[in-house]
Amino acid sequence: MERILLFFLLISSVCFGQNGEQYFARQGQMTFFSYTSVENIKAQNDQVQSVVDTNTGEIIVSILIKAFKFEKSLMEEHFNESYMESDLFPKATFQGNIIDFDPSTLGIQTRIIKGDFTLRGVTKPVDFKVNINNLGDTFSLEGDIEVLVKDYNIKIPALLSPNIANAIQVKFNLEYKPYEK
Amino acid sequence: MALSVAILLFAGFILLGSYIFKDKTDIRTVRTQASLTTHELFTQLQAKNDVEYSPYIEKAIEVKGVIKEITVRDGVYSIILDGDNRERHILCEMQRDQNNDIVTLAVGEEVVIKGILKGLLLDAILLNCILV
Repeated sequence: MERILLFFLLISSVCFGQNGEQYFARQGQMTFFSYTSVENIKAQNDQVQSVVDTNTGEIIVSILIKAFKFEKSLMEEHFNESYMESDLFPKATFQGNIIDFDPSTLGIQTRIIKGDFTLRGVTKPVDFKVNINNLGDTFSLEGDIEVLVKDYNIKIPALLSPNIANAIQVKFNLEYKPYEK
Repeated sequence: MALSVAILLFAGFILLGSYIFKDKTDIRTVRTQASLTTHELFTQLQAKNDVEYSPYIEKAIEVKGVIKEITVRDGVYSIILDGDNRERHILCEMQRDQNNDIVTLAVGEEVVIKGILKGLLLDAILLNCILV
């Protein structure tokens, strides 16, 4: 409940507190890949939600762990029950700033995002490069980030460790529209 | 004896294979835990001390509501139902086998959708949805 309240408070502060231009991504895509010589694993989440204030560059992203879809049901079960413990940690969140984002520049601009990423209750500072395609009334934000399994206390049983990469590649593509008040 | 062992091994492989490669959930075969309006869903989710432990999470529910928007990406439709206010909605990702029925729907129409409740961000999110 605290996380829900936090999300609302953050959205409220972004959306209504600073007279900024607020944009909302309702169905952002996030895909992760684990590449090993034993097995390649891919999962996709098409319901990532995010708010950006284009005046301040503030960005909030919220991800439901249980909304990741896998090719095989068994992988999905292991992911939720054993690795992510998604009953205990149902969401991942990111809160940060797009550095030097210029909403008046149309077309593609490459920027750095800095902020805090929280996964399995562990919060780490992260920064990563994104490409922003500004179409005027809408814009998209795409990029990738590497997540180290050990940073977020993701415990992989020894028997399965050859199947899971130590570094997970995460790609995202978020399409923003003006937030409807 | 050897034949029995071979049969047992073969059966074991079949069972293991069916477990590893078992099909995704078909929502039609899952028992509906609750039938709610969009307003009732948000009221119940917010009434819980911790929404993340709602008894409906990962359960099949039916939701009755008015279509706000229909989106499609990579051949997968989503129906967004009006929520309890203008900020929060119910986001239903539909099963592909619903596509022929979805194209006949229009914004403003009232529908009943069954799906697996995955949780609550700004919107409530349901996957594997079908029209009821």
